[in-house]
Amino acid sequence: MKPRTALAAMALVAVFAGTSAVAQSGAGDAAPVFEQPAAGTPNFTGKWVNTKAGGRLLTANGSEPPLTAKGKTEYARRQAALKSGDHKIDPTSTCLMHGIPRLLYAPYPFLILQTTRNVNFVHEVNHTFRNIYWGTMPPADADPTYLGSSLAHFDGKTLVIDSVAFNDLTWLDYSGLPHGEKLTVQERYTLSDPQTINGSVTITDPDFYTAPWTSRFTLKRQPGMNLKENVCTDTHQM
Amino acid sequence: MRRSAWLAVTFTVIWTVSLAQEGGPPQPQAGGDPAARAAARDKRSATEAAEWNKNPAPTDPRDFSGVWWTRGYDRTFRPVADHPMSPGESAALLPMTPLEAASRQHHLDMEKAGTPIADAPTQCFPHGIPRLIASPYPVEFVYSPGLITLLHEVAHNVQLIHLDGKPAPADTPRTFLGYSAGHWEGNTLVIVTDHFNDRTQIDEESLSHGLQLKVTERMTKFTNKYGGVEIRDLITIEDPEHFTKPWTAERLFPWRGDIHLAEYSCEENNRNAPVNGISVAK
Repeated sequence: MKPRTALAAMALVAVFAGTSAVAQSGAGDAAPVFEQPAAGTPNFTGKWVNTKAGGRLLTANGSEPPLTAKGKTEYARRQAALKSGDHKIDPTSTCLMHGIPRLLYAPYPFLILQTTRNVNFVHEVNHTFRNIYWGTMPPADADPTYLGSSLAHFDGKTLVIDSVAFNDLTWLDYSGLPHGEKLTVQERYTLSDPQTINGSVTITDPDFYTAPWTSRFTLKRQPGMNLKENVCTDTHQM
Repeated sequence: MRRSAWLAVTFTVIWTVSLAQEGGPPQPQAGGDPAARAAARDKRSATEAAEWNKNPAPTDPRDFSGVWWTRGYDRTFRPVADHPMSPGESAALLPMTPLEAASRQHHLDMEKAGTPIADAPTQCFPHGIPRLIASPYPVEFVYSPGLITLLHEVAHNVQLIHLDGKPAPADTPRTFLGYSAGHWEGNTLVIVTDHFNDRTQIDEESLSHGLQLKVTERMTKFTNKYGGVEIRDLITIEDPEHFTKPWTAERLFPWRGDIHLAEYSCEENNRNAPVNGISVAK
């Protein structure tokens, strides 16, 4: 939350703490470098929906994700709460961002907007977007966020998005699969035909999973579908 | 957090500078001499332009792709005037209907009483147009076939500008950000937005609108005398219930090749959530 009143308050604080704030912003706002995909790479721009929206993530061969003991305990706690009808345990119940990869499984359409500058994911659900520049080394020291810090590149005809620097406030899926701040995610997108993307997401988090694991999904193009204005705080009683 | 700290510092600097210009302590480097102050301002603007052009803006006059960020924060929209005006003079130019004049006074009175009327963004609703245009956060233009998408850092607002030349679909709902159709007149991007609900304000301070609001923006890219690139946005506001005639405000958006958008979660720890329609600080 960065409301204007907070900004005003911080302006006053900054009078006293200005030196350190300037030093911090100087370190974080280094001029970004724009790497661009090679000519002839596919373009994923369009409206898409995930055919496997909602539900729980399984590995590519259909088995349970390899939870650590800590991961099993946390997952069991969330599952028990959901089964007892306590949906407030779900962070999206208070309109927080879905996190990655859960956002890709939300039962709403989204735009992929691929340009020479970057690739953008614009989701109908609570007008959530990711603005991902071309490159291969996401900054691991970025402040943790709901959607992480991401960079995109092409591996042949496959669009690859690497993300780091997540906070631990989101669930990996709708069933409550946990993660911590060590989470890294690699998404891979390949066109299998002009209307279909074969997608995969690889989860690495040694605190919650004994090994990296991969889940697969399919995106279908929806040319006739328009994104609607979806405002979570207006439809949920906060 | 980093962005808000940065903004806070920016505001502090602007505030300090404006205090100095309004008779506060003179700035040491300017020495109170108007010519020296102008030279200092020129030097600052040139330094900014060089920093912000590290990654240059697209050269095609119709290509606005990239990040733009208005300077400072002005919480009011006022008609463009041909000379500098005091806030009172400028407000007197507003062609308000009696309904809007009374509504505006009520907003001002409530704020003065310490119980400001809750504005849409305090509830993490989209800001509305033109309210969103005034927001002191960066915005990125993304071009794709038939569409210009505006990604606003503030509260992850998204505007879709439809360039298909068609009117809004018949079933278009009334929404916070309305329905936007764009077209080009020369190198000026003209955006007409309507289909608004009546739950947002024109500006943060006091101006309101109803369901008949129509906003026409005319955006033109230009290079300023320091070599910086800017978009000039002329914003025409029409709402016969609230204003006796259309009026036009202006905002400038400098190119910012030095930054990317940061994540902004309005919904996390929203300390401005209103109680009974009144904004409260918690």
